[in-house]
Amino acid sequence: MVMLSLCLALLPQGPADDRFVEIVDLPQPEGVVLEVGGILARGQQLLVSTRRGEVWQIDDAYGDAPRYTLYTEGLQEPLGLLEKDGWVYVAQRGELSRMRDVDGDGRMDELETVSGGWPLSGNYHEYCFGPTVADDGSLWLTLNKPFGPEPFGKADWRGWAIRVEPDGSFRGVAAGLRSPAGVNTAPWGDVFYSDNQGEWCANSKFAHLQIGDFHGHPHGIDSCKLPESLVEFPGDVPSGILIDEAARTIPHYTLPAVWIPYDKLGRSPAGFVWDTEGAFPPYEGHVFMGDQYSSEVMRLTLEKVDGRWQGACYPFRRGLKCGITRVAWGTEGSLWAGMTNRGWPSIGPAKDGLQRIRWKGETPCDLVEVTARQGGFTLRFTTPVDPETVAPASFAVRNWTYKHHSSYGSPPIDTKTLDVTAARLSEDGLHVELDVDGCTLTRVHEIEAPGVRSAGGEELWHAIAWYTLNAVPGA
Amino acid sequence: MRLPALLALFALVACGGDPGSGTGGGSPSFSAAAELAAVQGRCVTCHDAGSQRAARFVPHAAPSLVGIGTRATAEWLNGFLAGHYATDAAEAADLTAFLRERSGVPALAAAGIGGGQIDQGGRLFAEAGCAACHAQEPAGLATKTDLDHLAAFLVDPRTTRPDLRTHDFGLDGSQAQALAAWMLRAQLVDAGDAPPASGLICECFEMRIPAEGIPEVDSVAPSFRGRADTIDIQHRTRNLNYALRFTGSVQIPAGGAWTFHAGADDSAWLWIDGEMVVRNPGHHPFQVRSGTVDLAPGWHDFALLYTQAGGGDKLTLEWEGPNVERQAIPSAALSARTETLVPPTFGAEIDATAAARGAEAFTARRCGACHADEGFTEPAASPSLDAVLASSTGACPGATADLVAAARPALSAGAAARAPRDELHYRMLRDGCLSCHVRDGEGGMSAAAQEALVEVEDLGEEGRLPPDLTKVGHRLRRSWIEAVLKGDVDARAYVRARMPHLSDDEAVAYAALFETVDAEPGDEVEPAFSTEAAVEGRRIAGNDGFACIACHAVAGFRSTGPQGMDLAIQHERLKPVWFREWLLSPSVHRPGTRMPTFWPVADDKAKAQADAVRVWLSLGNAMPLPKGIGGSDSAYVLESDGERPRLHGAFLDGLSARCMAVGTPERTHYAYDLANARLAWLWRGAFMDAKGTWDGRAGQLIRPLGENWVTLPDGPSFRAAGGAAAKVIGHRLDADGYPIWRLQVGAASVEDQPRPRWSAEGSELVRRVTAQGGGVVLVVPPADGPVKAIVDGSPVTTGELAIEDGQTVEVIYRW
Repeated sequence: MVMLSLCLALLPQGPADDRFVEIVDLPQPEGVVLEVGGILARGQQLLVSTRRGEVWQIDDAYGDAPRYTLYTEGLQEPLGLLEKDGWVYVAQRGELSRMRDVDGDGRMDELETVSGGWPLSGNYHEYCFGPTVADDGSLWLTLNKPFGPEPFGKADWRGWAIRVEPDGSFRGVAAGLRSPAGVNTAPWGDVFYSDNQGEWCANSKFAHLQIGDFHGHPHGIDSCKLPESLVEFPGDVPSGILIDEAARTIPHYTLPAVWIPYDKLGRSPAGFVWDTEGAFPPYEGHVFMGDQYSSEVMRLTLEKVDGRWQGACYPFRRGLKCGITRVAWGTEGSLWAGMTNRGWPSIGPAKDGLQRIRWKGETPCDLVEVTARQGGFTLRFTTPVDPETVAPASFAVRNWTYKHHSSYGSPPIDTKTLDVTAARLSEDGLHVELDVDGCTLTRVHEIEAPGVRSAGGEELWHAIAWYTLNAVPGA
Repeated sequence: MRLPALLALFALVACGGDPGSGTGGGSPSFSAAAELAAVQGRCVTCHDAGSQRAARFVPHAAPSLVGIGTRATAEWLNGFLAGHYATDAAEAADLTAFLRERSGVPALAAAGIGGGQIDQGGRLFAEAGCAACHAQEPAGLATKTDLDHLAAFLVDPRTTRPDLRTHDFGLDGSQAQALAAWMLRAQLVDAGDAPPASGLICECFEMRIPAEGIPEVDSVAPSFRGRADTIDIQHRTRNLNYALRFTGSVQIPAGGAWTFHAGADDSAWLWIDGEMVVRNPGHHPFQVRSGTVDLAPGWHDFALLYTQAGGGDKLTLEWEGPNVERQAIPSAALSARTETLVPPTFGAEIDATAAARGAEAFTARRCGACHADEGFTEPAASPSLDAVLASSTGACPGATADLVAAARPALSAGAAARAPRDELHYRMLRDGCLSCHVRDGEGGMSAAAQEALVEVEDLGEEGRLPPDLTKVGHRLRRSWIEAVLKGDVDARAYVRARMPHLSDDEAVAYAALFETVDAEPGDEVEPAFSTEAAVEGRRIAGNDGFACIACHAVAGFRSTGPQGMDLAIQHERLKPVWFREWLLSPSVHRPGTRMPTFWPVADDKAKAQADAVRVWLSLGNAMPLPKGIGGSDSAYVLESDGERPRLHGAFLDGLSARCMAVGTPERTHYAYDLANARLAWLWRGAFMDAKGTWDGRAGQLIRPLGENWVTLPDGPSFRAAGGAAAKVIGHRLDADGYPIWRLQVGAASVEDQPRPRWSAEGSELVRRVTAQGGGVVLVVPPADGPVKAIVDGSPVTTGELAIEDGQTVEVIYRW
């Protein structure tokens, strides 16, 4: 009840969402528990792996009466599915496996271990996410770190991203991850991951996974000393320094591409996909990511500045029925969201299941992208905005940083309100150049456009973005 | 000796006509009641009766008088002795003084009891069938003793009453306290005036302890509930996965800051007046956490919760405060403060003169002949038994005239050992069996006692009353009777009247007597085993047959209707000939039974079908379940649907974090340790509870449900000739869904499929192993262990088996 009222309080002028995107439930038979760990959407069929170790084949997934077949069971917390070379790859706690249904009866016939050998301590939180195919064809996985008892002894490689080699062995490519619940490859081949706020992870984030990088959590750094590591040992990690100092002083420390401010936009980001085909036409090329707490799908944009990816995050659609672990593109311009909240609270009435977000066709007037420029930002809108409403007073900009420390998360530190000195609208009415005093590297910039209206005089669908300024173009 | 039980026996004899012919076919002159009188009269204790009679009439042990004065009041002793053998009240008072002088000062104490404990005890008295022997109003008990002494007696009656052979009702501490509280309810005083009773209410909860957070103990019924004077783990009912809760009040002697130190392995939380004062969470070795709170003097609400998941367990609580150094909280400062039972007080004085007279009376009346507790005076010699019997009066300073009269026929006639039928009859009378059970039309509960019994399942009188024991030795296997009498099995959980547990010797003797007296030639000849018969028997029991499952549980799974006796135990319990007789015509054997008559005519086809059910039942608890039963109320208990195996990936306790458990329709299961390339566990019956893997944050270490659980030797199942390690590289599922494990062992690719099969011995696991690309060695259990490995009909004695390149070998695991 508390959660419900909280949920209502947080909702923006919600009904407007249904004008542009609607939520469609996947009918679920009595007794089937879909604590979604992985979604593979192919044609009219879904393959869904669940945290209970089951894989369900769901045919006629877009109809009123989908047909469920238990493809297999007994897997250990399968949290990701990927189709490749006629096999279905599945990330289990202790191994990457691949499965296939040879006779086509909807049941798995064989499973092969592709790679394994990373140890498990027997802690519930030692999840394994992925796989995703990097541009060299290798398969990448991210490994969660444990919380609490480790009955079989502390395990190496926890809090790592690993790369599976053709012979089934693996290399540790990046260290310092905390709870890397989403990992995927961008259309251009770079691998990104999402992480959840907690100890040594000041705030939820979306980061580029590059070989040799350290993302800040010291839990598993002893594995840097193992021969399979491609990350140099970063040394003792100091607690209590600000992010810019961490970036300067901790060897191989990597700034995230986007900080996703806690409680402003979800709390626990998870699976994400790129809209490569314009399923949601105004947002083609953008990232859509689920949140395990707020039961919403958020949106991110990226730009490469000074050789590194950075960008912004935006609200997109709230009001799904449960915390979202996985998203996957379906047919009909729809995005599947797979859900579970077992073990943590989430907003919404359900404990598990699948829903999809369907694009209805009308283009909203929306703040679609923020990019950095010297002296400020450029804001792009989906449809022309009313020139009368474009003035510095229509905008508000604040920035802050975080503290890198061993405590659970960091509040925004040193929040400043910045002066917007100019707002210039482009001739097509789609772009606004904002001149802002006091933009600062490594800080999160919250940019709001509360005064801006569409050419037709309507409020924007969303009028807020959080941009992580790690570098300034041409600076 | 005028004890109520004995009076009841006389009454029974009087009503039942000549009980000597009760079991039918015994010696015509035999009288079980007379035999019993001779034994209870303890005649041969004093009178030389010759060796045959001495052996036949071995006297009952007498109650122990050691410490009698510390547990029974003078008032009660006076009253008892006046009605026992004392001639008058004055002599009784003398004997009382003597006994009190010998046994020390009284030690009765007031006791705090929890709300509802008296009612709970009253319900237990009625349900358990105590009224079959005992009066509803326990005369004089409230003036005799206190809660702790009575509860201790109820748990272990034979320490003070060695004559009570059949009074171990398996009561646990909390049941005994409740029953004692009910019996002593006259001692209840108004709580407002009561002195504060020492001790907290302590409850133990058997439950899986979550990795984080405070467990919801109220979601399970306590396995122990009673008083505790100290805060420690002594009232735990097991040593893994339990919680203890202590509730009541703590008396703060002086106002000020009080610090509480709670030490726990694993967790503890302390609340004072509802506020959490100490928090010591998590699964960890013993550690102490402290908290300080300002408290006014006086009583404050107290609650302590302790949890133990695994490993060592320990709990301590200390306090320190104004003028109090750090120390355990004294018992006097802990109180349940609910209701209080106050026993009568003693007069501390003992009249030495009276005690001296009592000593003389004790000797004169030869009390020490029976009450032979150490230190009592040796009695003077007595005339021989024959001399006494020859005298016309039969007067005896140690027995009443009635008893002497009752015993006389037996003592005069009996010499040789009793015939088995007579012996059985005598024992059943002696041990009170016939107070509850009927045999050959004799005995059974009084109408009033029957009325007090509860009906928990809609199974008619068979679901409520203790069973009729007529021809029980023909119906039940001797081994089953023995197990029932020892208290090892309880087929009728729905009968709440309690069956006492007998000593091993008594149980063996009874089972042998029932067998000797009742068994008929050939009544243990089993129908021949065949898989076809087992399949047919399973069909008959299920919804496609006669739906036995409508009223019978099967292997622990609930029936679809009333929960009648579990079918899975019937092969072990019932003899085959009786099984068939019973199935074919239940109403003939037990008029009024709820068991339907399924076959109108007991022809050959009917007999064959009844035998098929028997063959199916021979698979025991691991039997394949009939159609229409199975599943579980718990969303987490996994079972095969009877068609395909269930696969469950989990952290298995003592194995590794990468394991798969395989639960089969044959209900014969195994676990494969993927991390260690090893067939690791075998078991039967119920499969797995997935709660630890599927509930909340999960990640618990899991053990199997079911039975016959064995762990195979450590180490990988395979090794290559060159010593290369074995590695699991995946699995295939056969057409029926059974996994075929694929391993790489050096150069060899190995396929390993364990799949169960039924046999006349129950079920076994057949492990089919193929090696390709090289030879391997399969490590099998050692010959002297619980699991036998059999190849081509012969046990493997070497502990391993070479499998050549290209060879397929079948190894049977039998356990």
